[in-house]
Amino acid sequence: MKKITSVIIVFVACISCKKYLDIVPDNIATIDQAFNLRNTAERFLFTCYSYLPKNSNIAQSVAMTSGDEIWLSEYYVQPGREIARGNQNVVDPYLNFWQGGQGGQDLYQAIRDCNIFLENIDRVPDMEAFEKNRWKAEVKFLKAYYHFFYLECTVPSH
Amino acid sequence: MNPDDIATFSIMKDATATALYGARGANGVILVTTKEGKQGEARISLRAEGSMSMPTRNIELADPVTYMKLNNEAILTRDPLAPVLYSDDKINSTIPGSGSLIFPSTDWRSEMFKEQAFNQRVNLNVSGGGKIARYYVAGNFNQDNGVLKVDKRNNFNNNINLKTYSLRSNVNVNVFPTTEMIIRLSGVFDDYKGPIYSGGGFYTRVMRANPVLFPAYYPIDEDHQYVKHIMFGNFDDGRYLNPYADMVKGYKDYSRSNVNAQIELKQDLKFLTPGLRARARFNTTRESYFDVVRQYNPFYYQLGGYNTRDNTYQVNVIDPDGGTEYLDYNEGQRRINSSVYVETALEYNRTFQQKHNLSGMLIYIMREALTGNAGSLQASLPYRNLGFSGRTTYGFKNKYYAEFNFGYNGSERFYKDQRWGFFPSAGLAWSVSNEAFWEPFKNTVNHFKVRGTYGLVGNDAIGSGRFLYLSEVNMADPGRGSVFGRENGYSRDGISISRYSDNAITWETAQKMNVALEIGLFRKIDIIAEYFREHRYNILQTRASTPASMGLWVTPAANIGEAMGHGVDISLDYNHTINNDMWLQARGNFTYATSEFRVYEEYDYANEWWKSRVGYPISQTWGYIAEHLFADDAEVASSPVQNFGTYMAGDIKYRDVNNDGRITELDMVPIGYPTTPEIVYGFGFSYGFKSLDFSAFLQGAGRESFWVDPDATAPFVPYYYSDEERNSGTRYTNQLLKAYADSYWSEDNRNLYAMWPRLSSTVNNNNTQTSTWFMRNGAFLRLKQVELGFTLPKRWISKRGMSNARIYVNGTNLLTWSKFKLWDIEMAGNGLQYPIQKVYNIGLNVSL
Repeated sequence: MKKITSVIIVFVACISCKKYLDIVPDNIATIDQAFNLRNTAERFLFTCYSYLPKNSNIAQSVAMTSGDEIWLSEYYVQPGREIARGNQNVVDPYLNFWQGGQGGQDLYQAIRDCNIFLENIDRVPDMEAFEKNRWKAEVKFLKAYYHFFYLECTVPSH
Repeated sequence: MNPDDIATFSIMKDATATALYGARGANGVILVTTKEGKQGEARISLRAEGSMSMPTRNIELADPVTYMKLNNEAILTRDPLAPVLYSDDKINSTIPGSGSLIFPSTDWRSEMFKEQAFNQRVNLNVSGGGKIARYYVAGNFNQDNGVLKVDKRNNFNNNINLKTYSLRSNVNVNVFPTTEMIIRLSGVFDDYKGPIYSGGGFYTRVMRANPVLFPAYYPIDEDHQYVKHIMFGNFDDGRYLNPYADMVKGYKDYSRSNVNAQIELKQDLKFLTPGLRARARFNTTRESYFDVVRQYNPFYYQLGGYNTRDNTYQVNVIDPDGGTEYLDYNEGQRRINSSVYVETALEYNRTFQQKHNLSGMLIYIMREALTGNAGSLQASLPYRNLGFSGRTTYGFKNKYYAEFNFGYNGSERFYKDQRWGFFPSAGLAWSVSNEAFWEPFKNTVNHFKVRGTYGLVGNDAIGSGRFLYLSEVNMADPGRGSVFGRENGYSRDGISISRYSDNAITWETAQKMNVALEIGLFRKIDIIAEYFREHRYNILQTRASTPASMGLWVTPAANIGEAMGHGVDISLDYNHTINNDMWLQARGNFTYATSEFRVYEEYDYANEWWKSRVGYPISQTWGYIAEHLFADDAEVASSPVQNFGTYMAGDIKYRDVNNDGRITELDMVPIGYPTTPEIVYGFGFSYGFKSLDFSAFLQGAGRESFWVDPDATAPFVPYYYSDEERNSGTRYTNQLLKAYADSYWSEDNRNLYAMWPRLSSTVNNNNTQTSTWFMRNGAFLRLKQVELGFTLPKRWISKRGMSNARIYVNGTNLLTWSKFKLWDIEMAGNGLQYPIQKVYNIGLNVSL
């Protein structure tokens, strides 16, 4: 009797093997959740807007800082100023609107986010049709504007 | 773990050994067995040690006058119109060692650090037992005293005082005649009272403090008779670094404990079938840490006016509102970790007819670890491992052996389709020396065995982040938000992605092959020579060829890399008892291992074939080829454009490898040896004569390269070791190394191959690129351990009830040979950190 009880004590069974490693709870944030509710879809809309170049900010405006008509004091951080001084380079470009960096936003990422929005906005359950149409129109404009701005920055003008 | 508690340890490298330990054993396993009690009277053993430690090599800094001259030159050489920091009057009047407060020259290192540190250690263990229970109990106490000098004016001691206690109790109980229960409890506890930063933290501060602007503190003078606080020195706006003030301004208390409790049950199942045993083990560890910092804000004073003829001066407080005389209170980090481990095993071992030896083993492992300060939801979920493995071995007459293992492991990091991996392995061995035909050779070659193993091992410790198949999305990212409205009234955060989900990520698998030869000669020499080869595939790598026009937030990763590694490992042991009084033991080992990538995710470098990582070792570095320093501005104008920032004559000139007229990343070529040494070796001997014994052990490495860190050692330039330092507003400026002061490019002395290029008082990106300029050979040989011991004669000690007593002195890291002379070579690129210590130790070991 003693021996059998000790044998049973010894064997700790592994009955729930497969479930043991399934520890991720079901409601971890994923990108699908962005289109479950109106307010998260609104945040996605604002993300699409966030890539707009800040052309009315005197220190971040692309045209103002990278042309040499106006020079601001060094107190303002202006990545574009280095372009006006002739220091534009290949290794880490200033106002890099291709991949984002040194004062530029990643415009390809912006266009992708706009496309994701346009594909998914119809899924949102608690929004009226007129609001969805309006938001779609806004994002279509943003997508076109980002294309336009990108061509402005990269295609050489004569 | 306390070395006195270790009974045996072994290192397992090949596939058969690691198959049993599951996913965490993929890179090898170190198996440590702690001591157990044996039946008999109580045996007591005591060890007491005292040691003195000091740096192996003290880095040499330039003297303060040279510092000032070169600092002025660094400013003027880059911008001739800029104002210099030190006037000629100051340079001429500063005399190092004069102790003048008007023209101070502070040697921070000798103001703050003692030459040596003294530490003590005591260990006591008792073991014994009877028929039913046996015990091994051990306690250990370590006292670490720091190297900092104490300022007597504070009423707290700001030197490091670290007390470490550890306690272990291993008890074996024979509950029933066939059942054994083992309980192992051990805990390690640290109590620290000392300065706010560690010894290393102060050392790096000393290396970034200005030696000529102010002394550590001003003595109380007539104008400040009423002042009850220490008048620390500073300059200008009071934000320069004063390491003495940082050391003395407060203290930190921390407490850490690490407790390990384990219970093991062993049951002999011979009533079912002879040779069958089962065991179960349960283990839990808890680790906790907390600290508290109490400090006051120092009052900084600066020199106001002075009169050199009378040698009088006035000091004024810089910010009377910024200092305090009372201590404030800061609770620091608190960390808690816990883990639970369960292991059950079934073992079988039996010899049939005295010829066939059969054994088998099945093991099931389950582990969970939790941390209390994870910081994010995903990191706070428990870390779990699950594995089931087994082994069968068969031996025939101790001559032929065969073995087969398998491991079936699960990992939480992959999607459920990829979660489980099956890793088998097999081995064969032949003990040639046990064959009948070997009899005539037995006296010369007493042992000759050939063995080989081959198997698969899986690794899940890949990538960053926990659940590699899950996406990671920030649903409220203020960095990606926008604002609307006339008065910017309507704003919302945005959504950002930091990882895309990928259900296909899976185990990194390695095929390991291992062939070894064991030879014993003359019953004195044992040689083991091993050749190993590993082919690792499904290595997780970030995709390099996704075009930017896809607009992805982060580049995804996939299991596409493949690498191969192979090498030899030879070890030699020599044991010789010369006569009753003398014995000699010698040992040597040598490992050569090299690796190369077979498949690596990268761009298609058709024209720049040198950029491809395929065929190169895993830790190979890519960098620019530095030719020499630019001789003059004409050479700068006529050479290919270097795109790292502003540069001029005296800066490093790089070679344009692809001849496109520009120096870009495409000109980076593989340079130097890999940063992980390819050759590691060691040798040593022990020699005994009557009551004396002497041993020495040397260790070395070769075929390794390291880079002097130009950012961390650049003189006059700020360098930060943490974001906290960067954002604190304190001015840190690197000291000037004597080696750089003796050899640098200057407009008067245009040495094209000087050690340091043109001086600068700001960071110069051109000179800090990885290149052959700062590459050094990391090969070294070090006298790691030397020990001389004296065993007291038995007649003398048995009268006092002792069974063994030995006094010994030993030294660690006493001598180093290497080509690199600036600082201790094992500190690698940055020598301005806490130096590696050499230790002299004296000890006494008594057993009763």
